[in-house]
Amino acid sequence: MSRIIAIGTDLVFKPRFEAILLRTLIKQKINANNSSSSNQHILRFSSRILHPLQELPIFLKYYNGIQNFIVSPSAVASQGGFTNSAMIKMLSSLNANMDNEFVRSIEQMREDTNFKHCVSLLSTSWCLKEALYKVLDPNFQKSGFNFKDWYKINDLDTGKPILIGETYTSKHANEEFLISLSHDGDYVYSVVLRQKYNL
Amino acid sequence: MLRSSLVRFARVGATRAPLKAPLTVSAKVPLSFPLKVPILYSYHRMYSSAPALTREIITERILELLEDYDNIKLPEKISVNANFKKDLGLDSLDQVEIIMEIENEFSIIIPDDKADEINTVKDAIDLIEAQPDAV
Repeated sequence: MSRIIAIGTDLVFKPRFEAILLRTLIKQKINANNSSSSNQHILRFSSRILHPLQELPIFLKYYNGIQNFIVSPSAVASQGGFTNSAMIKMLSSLNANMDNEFVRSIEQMREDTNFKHCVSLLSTSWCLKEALYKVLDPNFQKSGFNFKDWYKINDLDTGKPILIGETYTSKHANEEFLISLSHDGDYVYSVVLRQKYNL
Repeated sequence: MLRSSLVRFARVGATRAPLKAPLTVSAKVPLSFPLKVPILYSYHRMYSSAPALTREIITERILELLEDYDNIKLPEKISVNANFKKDLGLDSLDQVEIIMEIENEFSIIIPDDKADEINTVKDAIDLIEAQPDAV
């Protein structure tokens, strides 16, 4: 006997993650001389969302493929989010010193497969975990829930996505999360269904 | 044996160069007030410390940080008691971004569980004030 307890959904606009990623690339370039903090920004953000063993290494592999590139200041300013004028000034001076082949426009960055993988990983992960958050019990939502405890893998035969949260499942063995994802251009949509088995 | 090693020791001390005299300006300058005093070697280290982080300074910096954020649709609503969700119309992704920008600005790390509790600007100010190593 199984009983559906809750359903949750989330819709994500991918350019928001593109903007964050571009800003972290810039901050990394600006802090390139100070090597201790060069990777801090992207690590803080991605390690908040992604599972440290199952998702983060894949993300970093793609991220290393794009970190040599830099985007023009006007492109960054048009993206929204934090458009710190001081940062844009620093970026202009960096652009002047960099070889042209490393300076890209937003369109070029968007076509880069590594960049697309990075954005896709972050946005899909966020979308799923936000939907998941909505189905959980209120007291677990307040304390105990972390995005990075969960990860998504795809069934090797059917391609169906599966959401796994090891610490949660060990305490609630009779619960199951059914998920589904959909992509269309700049949007990612997810739905999560929480089901309990009465054994 | 002890005597010979003592003598050797004393000889080493004697060949050391004498202490340099303090540096003085020797150019001929007319006597002017305030008097130019000779530069003496300082035997004390004077480390400067960062200016104290008061609540006013924290508030100012956070409000400035929020004004830089484009996703806030109604910038006139930015105030100390503004709620991120209700007043400023921000969602959870915006909140993560703002928390990270605050971490950057004040050179602190906010653990995830504390970050989830920050719902208003005042919560953020309280949290930073409670951090002893915030800059």
